[in-house]
Amino acid sequence: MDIFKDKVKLICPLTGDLAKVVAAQPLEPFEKITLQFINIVSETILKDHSLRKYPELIALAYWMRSAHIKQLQEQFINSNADYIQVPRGLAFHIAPANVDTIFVYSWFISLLVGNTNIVRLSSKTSDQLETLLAILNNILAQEQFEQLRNTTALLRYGHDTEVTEFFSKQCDLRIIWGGDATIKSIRALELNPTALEVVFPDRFSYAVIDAQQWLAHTNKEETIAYFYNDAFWFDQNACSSPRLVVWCGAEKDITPARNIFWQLLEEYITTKNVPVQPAVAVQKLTAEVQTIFNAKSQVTVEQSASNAINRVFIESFEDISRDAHCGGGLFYETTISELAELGNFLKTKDQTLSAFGITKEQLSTFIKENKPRGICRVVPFGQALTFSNYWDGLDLLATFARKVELVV
Amino acid sequence: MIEDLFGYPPFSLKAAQKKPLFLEALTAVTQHHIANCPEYSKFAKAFCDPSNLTAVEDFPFLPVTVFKTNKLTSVNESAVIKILKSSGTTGQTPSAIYLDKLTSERQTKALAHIVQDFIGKERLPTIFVDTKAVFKDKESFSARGAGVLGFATFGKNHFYLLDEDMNMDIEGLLEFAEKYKNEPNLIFGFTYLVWLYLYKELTAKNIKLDLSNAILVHSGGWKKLIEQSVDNGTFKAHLKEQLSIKHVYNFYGMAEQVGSVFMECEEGNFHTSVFSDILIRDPANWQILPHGTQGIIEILSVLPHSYPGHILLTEDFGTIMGEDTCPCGRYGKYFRVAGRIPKAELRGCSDTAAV
Repeated sequence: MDIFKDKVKLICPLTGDLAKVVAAQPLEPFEKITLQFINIVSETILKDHSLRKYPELIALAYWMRSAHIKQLQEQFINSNADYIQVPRGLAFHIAPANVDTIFVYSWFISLLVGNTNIVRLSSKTSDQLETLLAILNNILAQEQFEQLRNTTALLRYGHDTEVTEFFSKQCDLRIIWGGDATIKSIRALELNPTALEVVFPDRFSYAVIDAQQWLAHTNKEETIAYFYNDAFWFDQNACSSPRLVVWCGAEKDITPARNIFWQLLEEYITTKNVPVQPAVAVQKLTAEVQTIFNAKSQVTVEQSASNAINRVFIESFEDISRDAHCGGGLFYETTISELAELGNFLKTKDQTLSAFGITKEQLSTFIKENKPRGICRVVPFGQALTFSNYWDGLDLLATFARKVELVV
Repeated sequence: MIEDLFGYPPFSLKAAQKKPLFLEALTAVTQHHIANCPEYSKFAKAFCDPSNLTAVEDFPFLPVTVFKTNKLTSVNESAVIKILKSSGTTGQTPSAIYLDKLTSERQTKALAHIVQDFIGKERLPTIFVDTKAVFKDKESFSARGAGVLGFATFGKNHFYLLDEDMNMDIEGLLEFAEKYKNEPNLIFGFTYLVWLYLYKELTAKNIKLDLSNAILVHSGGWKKLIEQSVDNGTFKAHLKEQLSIKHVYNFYGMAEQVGSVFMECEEGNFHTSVFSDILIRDPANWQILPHGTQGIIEILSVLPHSYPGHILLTEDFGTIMGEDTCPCGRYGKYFRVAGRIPKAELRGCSDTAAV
């Protein structure tokens, strides 16, 4: 492993032997030491009030609570007795640059099923990320976690195909967290033939609002705050951030419903006092123009008080340019008279549907009857960004492990 | 209309006189593009009511980058006589601008009108800090090539400082300097090339020249120079010290609006001409900002006929310093350019680390 000495920087644990990690034996699924470790990380974050300013960390810590991990364990164990689930071996995770906490979910789910882990972190950093890494390092340095130290390596290295290819040839599971371009370039590198590759490509997500329900809704402010979190926490650039708002209902309801919704959101954003980056404003204008150019029918740019929110009204589904969208507070809008109309529009690229005012039954019927090609999750407003162990249609616990069939 | 504007000296109209003339010409150009460019028509109708545009700030503005990703024309394909490619920042797709005869002629004519206000009407012996290869292909060339060709039309005894491999013809330069040392002459080049060859290379070779009768006109952006901590003042001071060049004019322009360039006057201000206008928009809401306040530069030109590039939102910050009151005596708006808007910093999973 000497060849990587100058290229690869170990981030966590701070001292370690990469060669050892590559050669290490997997752990037991939900091994005691793993549960202990995750629990301490969770408690450390939740106890430290100075970390309240990092909502992503808090969400992560809640996900890591022992009660929730126990649920995951039950999901994992509570399965058919005709097979046994075992770790795949060495997992090689390639984390995204801009969502600081994703690598932890990826790593911990893999760790829970017993895999050893190498995680390539992006070179891009943030206060939140460095804080998180310091916490992880502190805890991992405790004596009792030696086994985890020997089976874990979080590292950074430049855009070096030699290093990526080396780990790809060694690993049993390669997990690439998005960006179509990243996936394309890494897929070109040789992967251990028996390894499984899991990728999370670019996605498109949206919100569906029942206009009549929205007009009748009594706590509109709370719903607006939820929507704000869904759309703006990651500058509308997370896979599950809503980019298209679909209004469902009769036109007489939709018009006032839209007016109220956007007015309240504009007011709410004003209270947040987040400045609009000039380059983002230009990017959004460019995306609007590209969407207009791509459309077969005439689309309309809605007036907005500020460039925090820009809106494009598109009558025909086929004129919605998923790829032209750039995030940063740009909303496509369209209308349907009933949910079933969405069916033909959905593409495999579509991930999350945040729903307001539509019952679980309606949604369930819609999915069963229309069999849309896209959509991996349907969530209420406020939960678009909540991480789940079911992601992009995969049961991550089951996928990161291997099933040994036992029929004797 | 548009042709009428050529009847006025380029910096002779005060606001009250220019406003109706320019608005009329701009309206005509806009209607032409709506009628002849389907993309532009959809764009205009999405942003405004094209039949109800009463002031320049009401007209919709296209972000300049759309020419990188779209082929936008307002004339028949057969009418296109040349394609202009923007140099583009490193790693970016260049813009492609489709020119017909009318647009090309207007550009040449407008450029001559504007530049002659600074250098005089007489044809001057000219040094091009560039290579002839830059416009070898007559159908497709860069903004640099367009600049050289534009200036070639009102210079004489052209001397190209660089060969095809970008080597300097020092001997030729010394000859030129000697031959024309007692009469006005012109130097034209890309800002960075002027700095690299005329200043740095000559300094490295320890060659001092007397070009005190030369007028230097240059353009092309400061990005590379700013990286070397060279601003406009440093640039001028060094050229004066090394080559005794006293008259240096920068101009602000881009491949997407060739011809109606904004020349920098003796006071260090860029000027609009009768063919052009400038607006400063607030990135927070696209509202027009008052004079003296920095925002994103929108440039307007009545010249583009074959492509809908008459109203463009640039990626530059700038400030209008005033209108009709520049101490240099030229009428029109005058402004400063503060440089590129900083890159966006967005979060989210779509932006990931490639290998």
